[in-house]
Amino acid sequence: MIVLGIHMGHDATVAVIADGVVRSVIEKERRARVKHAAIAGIADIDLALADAGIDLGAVDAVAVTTTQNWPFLFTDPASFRFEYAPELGGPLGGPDFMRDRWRRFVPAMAAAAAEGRQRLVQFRGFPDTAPLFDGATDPSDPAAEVLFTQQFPFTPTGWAGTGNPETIIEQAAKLYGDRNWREMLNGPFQVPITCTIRGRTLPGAVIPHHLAHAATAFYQSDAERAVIVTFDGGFQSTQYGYAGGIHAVGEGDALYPLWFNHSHAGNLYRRVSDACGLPGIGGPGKLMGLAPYGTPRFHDDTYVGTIQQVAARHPAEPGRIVDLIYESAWPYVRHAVSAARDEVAAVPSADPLSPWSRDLAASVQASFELMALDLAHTAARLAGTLGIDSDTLCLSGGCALNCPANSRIWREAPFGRVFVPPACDDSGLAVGAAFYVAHTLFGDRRVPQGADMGGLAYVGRRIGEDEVRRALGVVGPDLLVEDRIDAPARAAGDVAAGRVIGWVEGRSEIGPRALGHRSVVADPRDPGNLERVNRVKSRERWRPLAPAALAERVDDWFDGGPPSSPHMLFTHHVRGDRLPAVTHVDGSARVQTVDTSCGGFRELIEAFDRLTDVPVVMNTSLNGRGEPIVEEPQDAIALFRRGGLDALYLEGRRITRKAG
Amino acid sequence: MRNDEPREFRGPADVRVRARTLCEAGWLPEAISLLEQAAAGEFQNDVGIRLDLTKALLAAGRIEEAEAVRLPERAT
Repeated sequence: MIVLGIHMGHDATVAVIADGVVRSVIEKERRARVKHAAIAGIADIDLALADAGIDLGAVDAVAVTTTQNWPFLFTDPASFRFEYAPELGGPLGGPDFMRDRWRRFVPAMAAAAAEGRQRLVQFRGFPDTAPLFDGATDPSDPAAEVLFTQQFPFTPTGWAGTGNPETIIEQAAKLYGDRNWREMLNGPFQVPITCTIRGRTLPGAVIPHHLAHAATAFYQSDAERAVIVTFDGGFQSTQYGYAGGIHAVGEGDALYPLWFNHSHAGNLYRRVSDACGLPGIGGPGKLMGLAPYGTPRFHDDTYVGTIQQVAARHPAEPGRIVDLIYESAWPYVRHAVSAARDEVAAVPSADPLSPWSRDLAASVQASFELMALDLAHTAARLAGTLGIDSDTLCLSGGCALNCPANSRIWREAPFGRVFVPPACDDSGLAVGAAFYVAHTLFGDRRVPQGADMGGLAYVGRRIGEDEVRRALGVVGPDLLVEDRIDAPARAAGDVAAGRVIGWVEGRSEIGPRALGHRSVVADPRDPGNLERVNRVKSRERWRPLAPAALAERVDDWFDGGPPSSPHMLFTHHVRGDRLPAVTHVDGSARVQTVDTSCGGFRELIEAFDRLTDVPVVMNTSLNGRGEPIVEEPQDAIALFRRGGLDALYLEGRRITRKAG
Repeated sequence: MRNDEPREFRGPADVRVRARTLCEAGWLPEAISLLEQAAAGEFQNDVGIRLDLTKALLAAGRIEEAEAVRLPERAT
């Protein structure tokens, strides 16, 4: 079965899944050169199908998702659009009892379309979301069509509940205990659609945001049974529906969402990033790097819990604007401000390096970890009430990018294995939605994905040899191109000699981490390389850089994290003091374990090990400040021309500047 | 621009753009003053002005004042 997955929100992505295998994933940001670019369109669909080598006529179904509360925008409706199709039969249409609900849903969403357009126009006007809309995406264009949506438009009674974990478990036992919950939870969540792409009509479904997150994790985990937690920066909204996270279980080919988990951990983290002077979608990632510089003096257990628990302890006042701006995070920020009013007043505007910001970052990291742990424990108990006992916990959603929290869950939660997919953020939603349609709805058999191998991530854009030749054909006389070389050995020699290199090979990585196919590589032994590489990338000086280590040698150099971390999503403790450039101030490092699926990048580290007796290199993404990771050969060459890198390795060629 | 200079605004969006420019230039107190005047005067029913005023007060660490800002009655 072939399913086209389309994620329409920010970090817009198109994926092609064929017979259970991810054939191609195109992230719009890489093509449009706009970080976190929103609104997938026909160009992304065309590219994904071409990259997968699959004709549109072979596609069996379409799976669509969006960012929570983002309406769907069709900028070129003649080429790509869809509409709700309550009469659609078969697995996409869901159980018969949903038909009347869809019939009511469709006119309501049609009536809300104007509001949806206005909402998108607002997003385009907000300073933090405006950059996501590239030049071709204008929601105010009268030719563009808008379709309103709601996350989880229909859910079993009780899911909205109190948010108290004990109550969730009690209510779940009551709701599911005497029923066939597998049948009850298979099929009523998606909204059936008919999708028109280049004149061809295809059946499909809109998959709720967190269901797609859960599917990304479960179907890529290779676990026969798994407990799943999703959580991200969303929050609850009576107007637009639920958007915090879910508890779910996976079993065999099917995925079952069990309950809203009422998490506000992500919203808290995101808003505190703003308060610390680290705004925007990239802010939380930077806050994670800032936290080890501070002490958690503002952490307070009364701010830890689900959104309802915290709101009950620290209620909002009606009409108070700070509650609108910070939502569930306001009490925490207020608490931290009140506790250190003089310090805050002494700083004219938010500054991440002020002692208050550093300590607030450390505090919210500590609180976040406790909330994440609570979610893992609750999910385990909830699954247990249904007789689902699994050693694997799958984490997904933007919050699963929090590496220290992931490692803490691995150490302290009741699971032997914690799996986080490489694109656990919204860039993985197209894959997840497509998997859900193929396996849960149609019952297509799963096939092994290589869950604990780095290769899981290398499904992005394929570079053709002709593209490389074309890009190299116009490099000009200022650059020297050497081919027919042993690229890994030469690169290792460069790195060991103190050079900072760019490394481009094979298909690009999906998700936010560069994993050795679009990377900047440097010597981790030289303490000066932290500042140097941050300067090359125009990154803040205080932000840490990560190591990539041969998988079988990781225990010799790191501890405190899982033995397998192929997607750089766990934090370890660095043993010894031989890796100063990749050791953070608290002795931690965000390790990538590099296995045989990583291609020439692994050979580079092996060669570096032979030269230095250190099986570790520094690895960070190949991009400039505020830019997406490079995708195509000309992007890499353009970045190299801007200076900073000593050499660029492009599909086995070494590119340097000619002397003089 | 000085705060005591006469000025004309076509609408609340003009005020917000000017306040944002002041903030970016490091003139946070001036931006707050401008937004306070607008929120107390002809644009007292505009939600956006009050949102920006709240954010500016927060950025200046004027926590109690930020908390005191409420939605216009018409919006609640």
